[in-house]
This record gives sequence, structure tokens and C-alpha cells, in this order.
Amino acid sequence: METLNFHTLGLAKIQRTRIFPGRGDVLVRVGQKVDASDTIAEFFPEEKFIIVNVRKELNIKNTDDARRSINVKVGDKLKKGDVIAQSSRTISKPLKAQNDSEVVNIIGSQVVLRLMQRPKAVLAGFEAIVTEILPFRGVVIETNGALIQGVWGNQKATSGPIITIMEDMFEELTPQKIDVTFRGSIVLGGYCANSEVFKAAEELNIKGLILTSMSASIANAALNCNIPIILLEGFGPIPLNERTYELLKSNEKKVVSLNAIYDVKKYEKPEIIIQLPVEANPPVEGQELRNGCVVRVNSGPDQGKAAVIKKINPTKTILQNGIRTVCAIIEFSDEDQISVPLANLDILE
Amino acid sequence: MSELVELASVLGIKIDSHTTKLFLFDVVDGKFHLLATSEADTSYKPPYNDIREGFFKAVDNLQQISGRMIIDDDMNLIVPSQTDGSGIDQIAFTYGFLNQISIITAGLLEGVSISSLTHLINSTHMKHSDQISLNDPRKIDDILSSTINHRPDLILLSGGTENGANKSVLRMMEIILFCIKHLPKEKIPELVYAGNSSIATKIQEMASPIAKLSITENIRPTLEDENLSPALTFINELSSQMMAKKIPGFEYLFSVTKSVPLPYNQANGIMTKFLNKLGNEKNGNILVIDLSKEIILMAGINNGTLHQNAVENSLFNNPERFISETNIRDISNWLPKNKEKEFINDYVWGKSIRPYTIPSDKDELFIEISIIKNLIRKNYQQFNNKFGISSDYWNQIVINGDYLSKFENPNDIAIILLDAIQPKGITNLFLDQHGILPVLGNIAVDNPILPIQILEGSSISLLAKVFSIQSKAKIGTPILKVRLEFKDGTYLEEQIVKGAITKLPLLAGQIVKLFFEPLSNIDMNQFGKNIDKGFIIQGGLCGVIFDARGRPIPLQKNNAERFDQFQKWYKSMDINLA
Repeated sequence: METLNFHTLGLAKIQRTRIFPGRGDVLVRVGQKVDASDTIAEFFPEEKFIIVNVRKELNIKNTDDARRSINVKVGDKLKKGDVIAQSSRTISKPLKAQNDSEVVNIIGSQVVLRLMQRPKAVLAGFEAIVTEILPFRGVVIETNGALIQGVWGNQKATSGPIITIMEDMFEELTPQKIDVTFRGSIVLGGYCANSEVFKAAEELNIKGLILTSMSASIANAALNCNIPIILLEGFGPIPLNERTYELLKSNEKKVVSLNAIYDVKKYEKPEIIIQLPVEANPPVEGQELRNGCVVRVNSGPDQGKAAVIKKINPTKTILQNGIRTVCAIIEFSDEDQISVPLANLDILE
Repeated sequence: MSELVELASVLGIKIDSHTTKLFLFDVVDGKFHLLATSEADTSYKPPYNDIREGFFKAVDNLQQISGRMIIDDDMNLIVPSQTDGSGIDQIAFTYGFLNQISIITAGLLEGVSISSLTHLINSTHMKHSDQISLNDPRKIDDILSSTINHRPDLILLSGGTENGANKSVLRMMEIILFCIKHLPKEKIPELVYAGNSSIATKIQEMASPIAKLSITENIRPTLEDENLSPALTFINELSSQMMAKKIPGFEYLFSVTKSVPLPYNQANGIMTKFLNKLGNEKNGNILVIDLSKEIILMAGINNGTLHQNAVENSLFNNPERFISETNIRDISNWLPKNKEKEFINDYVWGKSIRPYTIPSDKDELFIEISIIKNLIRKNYQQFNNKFGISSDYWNQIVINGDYLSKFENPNDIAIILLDAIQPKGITNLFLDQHGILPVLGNIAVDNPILPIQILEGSSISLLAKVFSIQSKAKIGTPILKVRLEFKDGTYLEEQIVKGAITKLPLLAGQIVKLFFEPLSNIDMNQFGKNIDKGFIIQGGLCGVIFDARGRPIPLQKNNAERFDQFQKWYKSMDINLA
């Protein structure tokens, strides 16, 4: 059974590789300091080619003559309107580039152009130092600090000081709680069920939102919101686990990087990183559930609560709803113990 | 017999991006038996990034379960089996890893080489990135852009029957070469030619300065005949080599297997054909559904033709697509109880971020079941549309129970299948409890006896024989009397009512004779000819089912009435709603 690992660590070395697909360029150098929203590379997700048949366009009968009329060479970067070819006949019009483009090949009297397109940016995602360049492929960045991984994000990134406006783990974030004094900050709120919160946050120039949980009915509004949003627990009214709450609360007013850009297919998660000037070890990846492991319940009435595994049952248990699965006995901080399917536990270490 | 002994113990390896599963078979009392299975998470993802870690974990489990050592101290598989009982004689490896290899196909005409290319690619796990044809409406600029953007690993050219068209094929080759010339040198794909053999040498000469080209037999030697096997064997070999470069650890498993590893789809196809032959039905139709965490695979034989479709399981692999394809109304329509839309919506979105979670109560369980029904139904409709199948008559439906193994009650699985597929006529529903079919299909290549003997065992269980009864009578009208005559002379009679589902309690394997007596407006021909003599039927895990709900299953629009429908149906199926 695959278990989701969500790091909630006070200090760790955080190294991330940002790879881009297709053609692109790295824009940073080794040793360079980067911010969460800095562009570290640019790439072209889709390329478009145009083949210009000079002989046909200029109505030249002979291929050699057509070839001689070509004024460009491979590698030339053309602006819209630049002359590609011109016939020696005095009355003929020059053949001009229709778009900004690059000459990638000339075959016979055909000119192959790659259209210049606006590149897509690869953002650093957190404050870090560039440690390695992967030529034409990507960049490795690194920092030390606190690391809290979320479960969902809206594919944007920023950094700023964190402000906690939750009094307790069950609190709901309403539009009325968004205050002008939060301008330029990243706000740690609770459960959110009102999309007006996003509008208020945008209007008051709040830099980002860390939400405990959110109603799925406003998920599309969150995706369209211009500021980064990260969910820590999931969808529905779920309280924040104490471990994460304490960690974020203890870093109040410190600058945090909020990276809601992630790709599930690359096993990435949205992340909150708080840079600290201390060398640390990388977190242990790919941990498995075992006795003593710090976990979070991710489903059912106790969802969001952190606990410790006391015992994993060696055989499958039949639940009250008729499902047969492997369960573990977990203990909450108040020493209450319950049996939970292993599949319903996230590792929080 | 000597062959049987030579391949006495067999290890079946089944790996996809989520799960590594092993199957240990051996000869007991002269017949092959499944001795043990074991499972581990596939170690394809970080931090391992190598499938061997998960494989060895599964081997450890298998050794503990079976008590047989199959690896030595240096972590090498012990082949062949030794006198001390350790080791194995044959290893077969079937894999998932959908869309890892990108292929562009090029052919001449729709209905001829293009359709043969499509058939060929449908039985692989390759990503069919583009298809170039003689009548391609696109400009060469667009074909070039597509080729560059897709960065194919492989381009497969076919076209021209034997001694048929050649100029057009050469023209297609020119287009391909023109396009790939614009790729970076290290990205130039391998080329395979499977067309008119009379111009193979010329094609080879054209390609050699630019790309590596291999030649295999023409997949469409005549207008009427398709010859996919040689090209498929060649493509399998080539894909395995490419997978070995893309999936760390694949090469190791490839090196220990006797024959070329097969993708699930192809191995499943072999077994689909085989099960159809075993089905005792002339021109029988069979549907095999493999619902794994990585792939949803459907293989169906309809009117003698095998159709296959493999798509990514969006629930586990593509949350965005899962959300966009899931209609909350579709989910709530199949719930037997009222649940707030907000709760369902939160559950579905929650599922998109944590697909592995187990429903913690009955409410969540029914949403989960509804999500699975919806997933199967959507893929079944896509399968039917893709291959132009308009009939829902399936003599056999087999579902891989691997993913469904969490449901303790087999009636849950039967109702999922009946609601999702809504088969018509008489159907045997089977459960492949361990997801063994692709493994058997792969083993069958070298050892055809093993799958036959394993299928005689209990790996594939009959869930139920289902009679889907069509009638124009009003809901609530008794339409049929059924009589089950047991071997000891006792009998059971039951009225079948329009709109209801009736499950009669036969024991699994119990043989009885079934008689029908019409009670009202019903066409008895739907049960076939000579029904007066009765049917000999066998009970499944769920007994025998008479589904008189109608097709498509009419769900009441009014919530209270719909919940009442479900209460009755679930009660009849012995599914507890409370």
C-alpha cells in the first residue's frame, strides 16, 4: 500500500530539481541567490514551424534561381517584415517574414522557420541558492529551513512574512477576517468556504494564503485566484493538525516561501519553506508506516488529527461498512486510541 | 509431459507504476497450481527510482509466504529450480507503464494500413502521439511541428499491399525523414517499416543516412488480410529495449525472463481470446475489464473481433482529469441515500488528492462505489464508441478484482458491474480475484498448459449468472416465474417482477436446472431457443441473478422514489445499507 509522506519538519536541507520539457534556457548561474517568484529558466512547451517555399511564392521557375534569391541563412533571427528572399527581377516584390522567427533549415528553395513564441517561465518556488545547472534541462536549487508540505495548491508561488490569524485549529476564515494590515503578508487561515475571501485577499494585496482546508465548491475560484493558495489538510471542514499549527505559529512573522506549483505526476507536493541559517540534513524520503511513526488521519471523523502508531495489525480487519483492510492502532495526544485503516494515514515526519 | 516438468515452477511478475505483484506456480499432483502471491509497492518513484527495490520486497514476501527460496545470497534469482526445492524454472514478466514510449504511425489509407496500424498500437502501451496518412488534411508545416513537439521514440510506417502501392509509401517516407531531420540528433527516433516489402530496400537506403530503420513483415499484405503478429513481436522486443532505458531496473527483469515481456494489454488480449473459446458459446461475446491503479483496460470480443483499449486510471494518476470528468450529479444519482451535494463534492475532491483512502462509514462507501461505477461506465462507453460497438450483449464479463479486493461482499462487486455495464441477455459475471489474467497470458507464450490448468482452479470465480430480462410491462408487474430444480428433487420458485432485481441463493458451484414460465407481456425468445427443456446453470458467489430493472436502468427523478428503488435493489442483493 502506497503511503503519502508529508514532511512537517522544523529543520531540513531542501533540495529541488526544476526540470523543463522541450527546448529552453537556464537563466541563472551556480551560487546565485534566488527568490520564490524568480524565473530561473524559460522554455517553449510547444514549437511551431512554417515552411516557406521560395520558388512557389516568388514564382521562379528554376530551383537554383530560387535558392540564389534567398537572403537568409540558418540561425538568422528574423523580425516580422524582414526579407527572406527577393527575385533578381526588378518588378518582383520581396518575400517577407510574416512573424518573428528563426531560420532553422534551408532545403533546396524551401526555408524552414521556427516561430518565436513567448517562453514559459520556470519559477524557483522558494528562496534558495542555485547549486547545479543541468544544461538545457533544468536547475538544482537548495536551502535549509523548515519544511511543511501541503496536499493541494493553485500553481502559483510567492514569498513574504507569515501572519497567523487562527485562534484554534477549527477556525473558519471568512472575508470579514481579512484585514488591511495583512498587506504584503502570507496569511495562515483555517477552513474556507467562501470565495469572497480570495477577492478580499487580492484586493488588499495579501501575498498568499495558507488554508487548513477548503470547501470543494470554491476550488475553481481558488485555481483562478491570482495569489498562491496552499491547502494543508484537504477538502471539507477539517481542522489543522497540531504539529503543523505549532510549527507555523513558532515561525510567526518570518519570511516564508509559498510554493503552490507542483506536478503530481512528478510526485511533487505544494510546499511552505521557511529559510533558516543553519546547515541541516535532507529529510528521509519514502518512509513506510511502522510503530512509533507520527501520522495524520486523512479520512473519516478524526481527519486532520495527528497521532502516533502504537501497533499495526498483521491481518486484515473487516470494518463496520464491510470493507476488509489492514488497520493500525493509533494514539492521539490526549492518549485516546483508535483503529484506523493504514490507507487512511499520512506520514507526517 | 517432459515440457511440463521442464517448466515445473513458474514465477509470474506483474509490475506497473503502482504495484509489483508476484505469482508462484508449481506442479502438484501432476497439475499446475497457484501456490502463492505477494505484493509490494512499485519502487518506480522517488526516493528509489528503480523497480528492483519493490521487486525484491515482493520476493521477500513470497519467500515468507511460500517457504521457498527463489533468490540466493547475492540477490540473484535461482534458475532453474534446485533439488533442495529452491528456485524456479520459468519467469514471465508483464508490465503496465502506460504511455512511456511515444510512437507516431504513418500509413496510406483509412480502412487499410491506417486501421491495421491502429489495431497494432491498441494492443501496446505506447502513447499514440500522432498519425500521418496519405489523405492527411494538415500542411507539412503542421506535421513537422507535431513531430518536433511529440519527440517520438518510434515512428512506424506501413502502407502498400504486397506488390501494391509504392510511390505513395516512398512519399510518406520522405515526409517522415524531412520531419525528423529537424530534431536534435540525440532525439532522432527509431524507424520501423512494416509495409510493401518490394520497396523495403529502397526505404532502407533512404533512411540510413538519417535514422536507424528496421524492417518487419507487412502488416497489411492484402486488402482483406491483416498480419499483425510479426510486427507486434518486433515492436514488443523494441519496446522492451526502450523501456529498459527509461525505467531503471526494467533491464534486470527483462534479462531474467525467457520470452519478451508483454504489456498487460497484449497479455490480457491473449487470455480474452482464450476465455472466449472456453466459453462454450458459438460467436460468444466476452468483455474483460482490468481495473488497476495505473490503467483501466478493456478487452472485448464482439462478433469475433478482439478490441482493446488501455487508458490511464485518472483517479490515481491524473487528479485534474479525474475532477473534470467526474460529474457530481452522476455520482449522487447512484447513491442509495440522501447525501448533501457539498459532502459528495468534498469527498470527490478529497479522493483526487488521496485516491488510496478507505471509506470510513457506509455513506462514504456508497460514494466510493458510485465513483467506481462511474469510472467503469465512462470507460465502457468510450470503449464502445471507439470500436463502434452498439450491443450490450456479453456472454461473459470478467473483472480484475485486485483493486476491488477491499469489498468483502461479492454482491457489492456484482452490483457495480451490473450498474456500470448494464449487460443485456444472459451473462456470466466472473471475478479475477488476484488480477492473474495478464500473467497467464504472458506465461501462455511459452507454457500454454499452465493457464488452462490454473483456470480450472479457483483463481477466476463465477460471481453470478445474470439474466437481464427485458419486458414492456409496467413497473411492479410480475413478468416471469422461475423454477430452480435441485439435484435432490427439491425446487424453488420465485416470481420476477418488472423493475426489480432478484437474487436466488444458489451455492457457488451448485448445479441446478432452471425453468421459465411467462406471466405477462414478455418475449421469451430473449432467453434463446428450446427454453422449454430448461437451462442447466451453476451458482456463483452471488448465486443467480434476475435483473428485470430494464435497460438502460431507469432511475427515478424524485429523490425519495429513487432512494426507495435502491433500498429494494440493495436489499434483494443482500447489501446492507445501514
